[in-house]
Amino acid sequence: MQKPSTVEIRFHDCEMVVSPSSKMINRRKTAAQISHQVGAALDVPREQLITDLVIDLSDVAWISSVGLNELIGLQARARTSGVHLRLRSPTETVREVLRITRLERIFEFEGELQLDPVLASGVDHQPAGGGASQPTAAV
Amino acid sequence: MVTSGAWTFQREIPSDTTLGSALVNELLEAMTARQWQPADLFRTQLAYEEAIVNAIRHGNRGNRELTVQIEMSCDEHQVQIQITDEGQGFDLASVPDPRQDDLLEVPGGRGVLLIHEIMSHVEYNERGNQITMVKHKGDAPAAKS
Repeated sequence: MQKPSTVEIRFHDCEMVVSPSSKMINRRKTAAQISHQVGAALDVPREQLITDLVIDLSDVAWISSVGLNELIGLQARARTSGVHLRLRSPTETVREVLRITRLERIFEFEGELQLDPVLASGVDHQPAGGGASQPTAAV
Repeated sequence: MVTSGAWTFQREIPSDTTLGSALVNELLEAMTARQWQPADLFRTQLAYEEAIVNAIRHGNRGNRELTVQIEMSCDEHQVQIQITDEGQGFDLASVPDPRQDDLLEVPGGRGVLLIHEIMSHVEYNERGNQITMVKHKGDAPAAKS
Protein backbone atom coordinates (compact mmCIF):
# COMPACT_ATOMS: atom_id res chain seq x y z
CA MET A 1 0.00 0.00 0.00
CA GLN A 2 1.33 3.42 -0.90
CA LYS A 3 2.04 5.69 2.04
CA PRO A 4 0.11 8.96 2.09
CA SER A 5 2.32 11.94 1.39
CA THR A 6 3.48 14.26 4.17
CA VAL A 7 3.18 17.20 1.81
CA GLU A 8 1.14 18.36 -1.13
CA ILE A 9 3.30 19.86 -3.85
CA ARG A 10 1.86 22.02 -6.61
CA PHE A 11 3.53 23.86 -9.45
CA HIS A 12 2.51 27.21 -10.89
CA ASP A 13 4.80 28.24 -13.71
CA CYS A 14 8.18 28.77 -12.05
CA GLU A 15 6.81 28.46 -8.52
CA MET A 16 6.65 25.33 -6.40
CA VAL A 17 4.16 25.45 -3.51
CA VAL A 18 4.61 22.98 -0.68
CA SER A 19 1.79 22.43 1.81
CA PRO A 20 2.63 20.16 4.77
CA SER A 21 -0.30 17.92 5.58
CA SER A 22 0.59 17.66 9.26
CA LYS A 23 -0.91 20.14 11.71
CA MET A 24 2.19 19.82 13.86
CA ILE A 25 5.77 19.66 12.67
CA ASN A 26 7.35 18.22 15.76
CA ARG A 27 8.54 14.78 14.70
CA ARG A 28 11.96 14.26 13.19
CA LYS A 29 10.62 11.60 10.84
CA THR A 30 7.80 13.78 9.53
CA ALA A 31 10.06 16.79 9.14
CA ALA A 32 12.73 14.78 7.35
CA GLN A 33 10.14 13.35 4.97
CA ILE A 34 8.97 16.84 4.08
CA SER A 35 12.53 17.90 3.27
CA HIS A 36 13.14 14.72 1.31
CA GLN A 37 10.02 15.14 -0.80
CA VAL A 38 10.75 18.78 -1.49
CA GLY A 39 14.35 17.97 -2.40
CA ALA A 40 13.23 15.20 -4.71
CA ALA A 41 10.69 17.48 -6.39
CA LEU A 42 13.33 20.16 -6.91
CA ASP A 43 15.63 17.60 -8.52
CA VAL A 44 13.08 16.52 -11.13
CA PRO A 45 13.99 18.13 -14.46
CA ARG A 46 11.17 20.42 -15.59
CA GLU A 47 10.45 22.35 -18.72
CA GLN A 48 10.21 25.52 -16.67
CA LEU A 49 12.99 26.08 -14.19
CA ILE A 50 11.76 26.47 -10.61
CA THR A 51 12.76 29.88 -9.30
CA ASP A 52 10.46 30.17 -6.27
CA LEU A 53 9.71 27.76 -3.45
CA VAL A 54 6.75 28.60 -1.21
CA ILE A 55 6.15 26.70 2.02
CA ASP A 56 2.48 27.15 2.81
CA LEU A 57 2.18 27.03 6.60
CA SER A 58 -1.45 28.11 6.82
CA ASP A 59 -2.56 24.69 8.09
CA VAL A 60 0.35 24.11 10.45
CA ALA A 61 -0.89 24.80 13.96
CA TRP A 62 2.52 24.66 15.62
CA ILE A 63 6.13 23.79 15.05
CA SER A 64 8.90 22.66 17.36
CA SER A 65 12.67 23.02 17.04
CA VAL A 66 12.63 19.87 14.91
CA GLY A 67 10.48 21.63 12.32
CA LEU A 68 12.57 24.79 12.55
CA ASN A 69 15.71 22.81 11.74
CA GLU A 70 14.02 21.42 8.64
CA LEU A 71 12.97 24.89 7.51
CA ILE A 72 16.56 26.06 7.94
CA GLY A 73 17.72 23.07 5.90
CA LEU A 74 15.20 23.81 3.17
CA GLN A 75 16.34 27.42 3.08
CA ALA A 76 19.93 26.29 2.56
CA ARG A 77 18.87 23.72 -0.04
CA ALA A 78 16.85 26.30 -1.95
CA ARG A 79 19.67 28.80 -1.88
CA THR A 80 22.11 26.22 -3.23
CA SER A 81 19.70 25.55 -6.09
CA GLY A 82 19.28 29.23 -6.81
CA VAL A 83 15.67 29.10 -5.66
CA HIS A 84 13.95 31.85 -3.70
CA LEU A 85 12.15 30.46 -0.59
CA ARG A 86 9.19 32.14 1.11
CA LEU A 87 6.94 31.11 3.99
CA ARG A 88 3.27 31.63 3.28
CA SER A 89 0.62 32.53 5.84
CA PRO A 90 2.07 31.14 9.07
CA THR A 91 -0.32 30.84 12.00
CA GLU A 92 0.18 33.08 15.01
CA THR A 93 1.66 30.18 16.95
CA VAL A 94 4.22 29.36 14.28
CA ARG A 95 5.06 33.02 13.84
CA GLU A 96 5.65 33.33 17.59
CA VAL A 97 8.15 30.46 17.51
CA LEU A 98 9.93 32.05 14.53
CA ARG A 99 10.00 35.39 16.35
CA ILE A 100 11.39 33.94 19.61
CA THR A 101 14.18 32.18 17.74
CA ARG A 102 14.75 35.26 15.55
CA LEU A 103 14.40 33.09 12.47
CA GLU A 104 12.05 35.74 11.11
CA ARG A 105 15.26 37.45 10.02
CA ILE A 106 16.30 34.71 7.60
CA PHE A 107 12.91 33.98 6.08
CA GLU A 108 10.75 36.01 3.77
CA PHE A 109 7.01 35.90 4.33
CA GLU A 110 4.00 36.29 2.11
CA GLY A 111 0.26 36.15 2.62
CA GLU A 112 -1.85 36.97 5.60
CA LEU A 113 -0.97 36.02 9.14
CA GLN A 114 -3.37 33.18 9.90
CA LEU A 115 -5.48 33.58 12.99
CA ASP A 116 -4.95 30.24 14.60
CA PRO A 117 -8.39 28.56 14.62
CA VAL A 118 -7.61 26.88 17.92
CA LEU A 119 -6.42 30.05 19.60
CA ALA A 120 -9.33 31.99 18.16
CA SER A 121 -12.03 29.62 19.30
CA GLY A 122 -10.53 28.69 22.63
CA VAL A 123 -11.69 25.13 22.16
CA ASP A 124 -10.77 21.98 20.29
CA HIS A 125 -7.16 22.10 21.31
CA GLN A 126 -5.29 19.31 19.57
CA PRO A 127 -2.82 17.71 21.91
CA ALA A 128 0.34 15.97 20.78
CA GLY A 129 0.81 12.26 20.59
CA GLY A 130 -1.83 9.68 19.96
CA GLY A 131 -5.52 9.66 20.60
CA ALA A 132 -8.57 10.59 18.63
CA SER A 133 -7.60 14.23 18.36
CA GLN A 134 -4.31 13.47 16.64
CA PRO A 135 -4.32 15.05 13.21
CA THR A 136 -4.32 12.62 10.36
CA ALA A 137 -0.74 13.40 9.51
CA ALA A 138 0.94 11.21 6.98
CA VAL A 139 4.21 9.89 8.26
CA MET B 1 -16.31 20.92 33.09
CA VAL B 2 -14.54 23.38 35.37
CA THR B 3 -12.35 21.85 38.05
CA SER B 4 -10.58 23.56 40.91
CA GLY B 5 -7.70 22.51 43.12
CA ALA B 6 -4.38 20.93 42.39
CA TRP B 7 -3.75 18.14 39.90
CA THR B 8 -0.62 16.02 40.04
CA PHE B 9 0.86 13.35 37.81
CA GLN B 10 3.89 11.10 38.07
CA ARG B 11 5.11 8.48 35.62
CA GLU B 12 8.27 6.60 34.69
CA ILE B 13 8.56 5.70 31.02
CA PRO B 14 11.10 4.05 28.73
CA SER B 15 13.01 6.23 26.27
CA ASP B 16 10.27 6.49 23.67
CA THR B 17 9.45 9.92 22.26
CA THR B 18 5.98 8.94 21.04
CA LEU B 19 5.05 7.65 24.47
CA GLY B 20 6.66 10.59 26.21
CA SER B 21 5.02 13.21 24.00
CA ALA B 22 1.56 11.72 24.48
CA LEU B 23 1.68 12.17 28.25
CA VAL B 24 1.33 15.91 27.91
CA ASN B 25 -2.30 15.33 26.97
CA GLU B 26 -3.02 14.57 30.62
CA LEU B 27 -1.61 17.93 31.64
CA LEU B 28 -3.45 19.79 28.88
CA GLU B 29 -6.74 18.28 29.99
CA ALA B 30 -6.07 19.32 33.59
CA MET B 31 -5.20 22.85 32.43
CA THR B 32 -8.31 23.06 30.25
CA ALA B 33 -10.48 21.98 33.17
CA ARG B 34 -8.93 24.82 35.18
CA GLN B 35 -9.71 27.37 32.48
CA TRP B 36 -6.21 27.97 31.16
CA GLN B 37 -6.28 29.73 27.81
CA PRO B 38 -5.34 27.99 24.54
CA ALA B 39 -2.20 30.11 24.11
CA ASP B 40 -0.92 28.87 27.48
CA LEU B 41 -1.73 25.31 26.48
CA PHE B 42 0.23 25.56 23.25
CA ARG B 43 3.24 27.14 24.91
CA THR B 44 3.26 24.54 27.67
CA GLN B 45 2.89 21.74 25.14
CA LEU B 46 5.79 23.09 23.10
CA ALA B 47 8.09 23.43 26.13
CA TYR B 48 7.15 19.94 27.31
CA GLU B 49 7.78 18.50 23.84
CA GLU B 50 11.22 20.08 23.64
CA ALA B 51 12.15 18.92 27.15
CA ILE B 52 10.96 15.33 26.76
CA VAL B 53 12.71 14.97 23.41
CA ASN B 54 15.92 16.38 24.92
CA ALA B 55 15.70 13.94 27.84
CA ILE B 56 15.16 10.91 25.61
CA ARG B 57 17.41 11.76 22.66
CA HIS B 58 20.23 13.69 24.28
CA GLY B 59 19.97 12.57 27.91
CA ASN B 60 19.29 8.86 27.52
CA ARG B 61 20.58 8.81 23.92
CA GLY B 62 17.50 6.86 22.89
CA ASN B 63 18.46 3.86 24.99
CA ARG B 64 15.12 2.15 25.71
CA GLU B 65 16.59 0.42 28.73
CA LEU B 66 16.95 3.79 30.38
CA THR B 67 13.91 5.56 31.75
CA VAL B 68 12.59 9.07 32.11
CA GLN B 69 10.75 10.30 35.18
CA ILE B 70 7.96 12.80 34.56
CA GLU B 71 6.24 14.79 37.25
CA MET B 72 3.61 17.38 36.42
CA SER B 73 1.25 19.45 38.49
CA CYS B 74 -1.17 22.24 37.83
CA ASP B 75 -3.71 24.42 39.57
CA GLU B 76 -5.59 27.56 38.56
CA HIS B 77 -2.45 29.71 38.56
CA GLN B 78 0.63 27.64 37.87
CA VAL B 79 1.91 24.61 35.99
CA GLN B 80 5.05 22.75 36.96
CA ILE B 81 6.81 20.08 34.90
CA GLN B 82 9.86 18.15 36.05
CA ILE B 83 11.62 15.71 33.72
CA THR B 84 14.56 13.57 34.83
CA ASP B 85 16.62 11.34 32.57
CA GLU B 86 19.41 8.88 33.36
CA GLY B 87 22.04 10.58 31.25
CA GLN B 88 25.24 12.30 32.25
CA GLY B 89 23.54 15.68 32.29
CA PHE B 90 24.37 18.77 30.35
CA ASP B 91 25.77 22.19 31.08
CA LEU B 92 23.43 24.96 29.98
CA ALA B 93 26.40 27.29 29.54
CA SER B 94 27.75 24.97 26.84
CA VAL B 95 24.71 25.55 24.63
CA PRO B 96 25.36 28.55 22.37
CA ASP B 97 22.59 31.07 21.76
CA PRO B 98 21.25 30.15 18.31
CA ARG B 99 20.06 33.74 17.85
CA GLN B 100 23.63 34.92 17.27
CA ASP B 101 24.10 36.09 13.71
CA ASP B 102 26.68 33.45 12.88
CA LEU B 103 24.48 30.66 14.28
CA LEU B 104 21.15 31.81 12.91
CA GLU B 105 21.21 29.33 10.05
CA VAL B 106 22.81 26.50 12.02
CA PRO B 107 20.39 23.81 13.25
CA GLY B 108 20.39 22.99 16.97
CA GLY B 109 19.99 24.68 20.34
CA ARG B 110 16.55 26.08 19.66
CA GLY B 111 14.72 23.63 21.89
CA VAL B 112 16.48 24.92 24.99
CA LEU B 113 15.94 28.50 23.85
CA LEU B 114 12.22 27.95 23.32
CA ILE B 115 11.83 26.37 26.76
CA HIS B 116 13.51 29.34 28.44
CA GLU B 117 11.53 31.92 26.49
CA ILE B 118 8.14 30.24 26.80
CA MET B 119 8.18 29.16 30.42
CA SER B 120 8.12 31.55 33.38
CA HIS B 121 10.94 29.82 35.26
CA VAL B 122 13.39 27.07 34.33
CA GLU B 123 16.04 25.39 36.45
CA TYR B 124 18.27 22.32 36.31
CA ASN B 125 19.71 20.12 39.01
CA GLU B 126 23.45 20.15 39.61
CA ARG B 127 24.11 17.08 37.46
CA GLY B 128 22.12 18.58 34.59
CA ASN B 129 19.87 15.57 34.01
CA GLN B 130 16.75 17.10 35.51
CA ILE B 131 14.80 20.09 34.27
CA THR B 132 12.08 21.83 36.23
CA MET B 133 9.83 24.26 34.36
CA VAL B 134 7.15 26.52 35.79
CA LYS B 135 4.55 28.47 33.87
CA HIS B 136 2.30 31.12 35.35
CA LYS B 137 -1.09 31.58 33.76
CA GLY B 138 -1.07 34.20 31.01
CA ASP B 139 2.70 34.72 31.09
CA ALA B 140 3.56 35.38 27.44
CA PRO B 141 7.11 35.37 25.98
CA ALA B 142 6.85 38.98 24.80
CA ALA B 143 6.09 40.17 28.32
CA LYS B 144 9.36 38.70 29.59
CA SER B 145 11.73 40.44 27.21
